[in-house]
Amino acid sequence: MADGPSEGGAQARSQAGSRQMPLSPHLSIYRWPITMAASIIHRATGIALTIGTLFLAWWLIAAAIGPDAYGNFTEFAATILGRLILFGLVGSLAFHLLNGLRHLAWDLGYGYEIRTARLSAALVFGLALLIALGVFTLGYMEGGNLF
Amino acid sequence: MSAVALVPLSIWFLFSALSLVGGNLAEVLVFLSKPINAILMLLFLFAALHHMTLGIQVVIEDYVHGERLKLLSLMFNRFFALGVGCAAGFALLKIAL
Repeated sequence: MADGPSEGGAQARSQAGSRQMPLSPHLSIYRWPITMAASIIHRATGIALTIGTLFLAWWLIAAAIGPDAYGNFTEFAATILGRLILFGLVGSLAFHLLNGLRHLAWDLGYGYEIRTARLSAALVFGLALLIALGVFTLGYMEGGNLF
Repeated sequence: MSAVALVPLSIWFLFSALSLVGGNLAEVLVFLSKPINAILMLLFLFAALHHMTLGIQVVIEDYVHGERLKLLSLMFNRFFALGVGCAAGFALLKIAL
């Protein structure tokens, strides 16, 4: 194919000396299989939860220090940003846990058929969202004493 | 297999955290002072941090390529887990004991 350089190629060749080959577009045009989406979201939620451990540690340490420190924590947790973070963490935990079960099933040898894998991925997305919303709604009914 | 342990432990954690929502420090302290809750929370912390270390290690190995940066990142990963674990664990023991 003797076409002129694609825009990717022109971009790549603008760096004098470094021979980068032109790239085909990928993320912008390929369709996302649901199994692929579940996989990368699993990694993303894992990373989110990692940062979330800091939040958990803050909660425990604040409780150990005393009412003032704990007040700071609850004040922050009640702000819009705080609630957003909490929702994100609950959602991440729900998704990562459910998708983790999928992984454990694979470890045991179950669920490799492509239709099963797609169905379980869809189930995980749906259930995780439901659980996140459910837990958050319950949390909002701040009568607190549920158990 | 921290993953397997985390299945029941995370569910327990979610329910416990839910029951404590509302901002009452006294309730939280009472809850965490009960031995069973303190032990479960410690187990949850250990399992979660160990699981996290393994997972982040894979992420680092996938995305970080410079040899020195990779080594430093892998070390930092372990130190992070140990740091958070000891800080949170200490706080927990201070409350419960």
